[in-house]
Amino acid sequence: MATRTSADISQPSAIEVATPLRAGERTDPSGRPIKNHILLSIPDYEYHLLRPHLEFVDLENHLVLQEPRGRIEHGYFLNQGMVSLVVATTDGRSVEVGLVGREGIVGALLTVGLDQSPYRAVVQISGEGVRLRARMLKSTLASAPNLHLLLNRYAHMQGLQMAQIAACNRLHDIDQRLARWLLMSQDRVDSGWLPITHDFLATMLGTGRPTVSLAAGLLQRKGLIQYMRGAVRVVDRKGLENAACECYGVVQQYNGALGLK
Amino acid sequence: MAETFGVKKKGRPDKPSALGISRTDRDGKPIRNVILQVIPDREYISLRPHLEFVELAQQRILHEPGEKIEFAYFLNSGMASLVVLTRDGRSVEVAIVGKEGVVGTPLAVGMDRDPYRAIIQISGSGFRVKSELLEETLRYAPELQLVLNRYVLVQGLQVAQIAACNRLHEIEQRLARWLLMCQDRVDSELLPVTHEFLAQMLGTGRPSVSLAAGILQRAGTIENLRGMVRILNRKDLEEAACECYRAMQRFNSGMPRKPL
Repeated sequence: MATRTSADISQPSAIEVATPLRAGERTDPSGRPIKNHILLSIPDYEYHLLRPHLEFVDLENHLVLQEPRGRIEHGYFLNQGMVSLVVATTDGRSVEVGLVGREGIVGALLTVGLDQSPYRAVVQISGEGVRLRARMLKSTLASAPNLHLLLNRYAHMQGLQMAQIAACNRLHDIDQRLARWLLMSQDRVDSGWLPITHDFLATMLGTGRPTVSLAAGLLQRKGLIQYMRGAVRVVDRKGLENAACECYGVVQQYNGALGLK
Repeated sequence: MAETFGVKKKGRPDKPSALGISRTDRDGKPIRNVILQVIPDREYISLRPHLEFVELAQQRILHEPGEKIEFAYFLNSGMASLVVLTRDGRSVEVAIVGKEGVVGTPLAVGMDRDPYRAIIQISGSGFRVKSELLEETLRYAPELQLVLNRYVLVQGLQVAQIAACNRLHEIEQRLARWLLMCQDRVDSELLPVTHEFLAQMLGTGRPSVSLAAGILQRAGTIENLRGMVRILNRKDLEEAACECYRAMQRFNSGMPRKPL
């Protein structure tokens, strides 16, 4: 029998909630359209419970939503943009362990009554979303079983994503990891240009800047990406998928079960 | 002394747990799994008829990546690893489960597979429950549901830390961290692990592991025996490990420490 690998996982069982609404079919209290997949997937009555407490937030690049070991004050449901979960070590190095876009929530720990996060949650690609006070989220969950289940599943999926990144960080080369990162980021934003510097990529990938520049140069010469000052554009998505390690495909499958791409 | 999930280390196996609860399965075997200890009586009683005692021998595979998960395993002793396998045949451990946890967390959120190989690293024993029976029980066991959901997240924190550690820390630090995490779950100074095996867990080659283990041995921290590692000086081993060990200990404090 051929050995199964972690890349062979079949599509996880689909979430048995009603088909999500389309972006814009719900609005926040300020009338802005909701695009967050979790908020679009819960039943009307649960959304109505939540809605009055949602506060619109602009998420600017590099805004820190949570500091390591700080109290989690809010849960953030992203409409647009991307947040990275970063583990920072005491010697000042850091590496990304997870990404959150409009498929998820920043502050998943709140759903199980925990309120301290060991990660830094930082906005990588600016966007917007709605936030909800921690206390309010906790008290709403008691009367919103669908939301509760979705958040617990999301937390589980995020754990799987992190596990794959754990393996990837150890086993794969920088150009594969860079390609994987660019694909995961592009999945979470609508624009072709990703506003990211090499310094920043180095922090995310847990390596030095020269190493990132070398890898980015390699991908550019192959015609897969185009790099400009402070921004990267994916030119050949298919080619980039081939250049990435299998981890991209694996993580994409988890996201599929959550309704992302 | 440091506590893991509220259970004092080096506890004598025959004594009731530090939680003061002495539960048994239907055959009278003592329950030492912390999740099974902290849930309320009513919930434990509804789960008890479904628990099946199992000896867990080293190298036994509890489930393979992508395979339907037939049972959840609540460990009583010993240790399981969750391992990611890549297509080129390499592997790396992403989480460790001992008596503080359960193997089969997807079942807690209504899913039936995950991408890991779950394999017994250090032999022990535990109780398994058929996935359908667990799911059925969960409908009427809100505290068990909560503690499993919480375990999912706390395990996620562990995984995240390992993700960072795999990238940022040296093999000696990671080896020391692994030995400590292992010892916390087996209450023994003698860990039955080969260097070959450690290499698979740490996602590196066997020579690198032997080199790192040699350095720790020359410092008098561990002793490398045939197919085993003996921990000689735990304090020094903690010094040699990266901060990730302490960080993961902190995460564990997020789990209930006393009966719910």
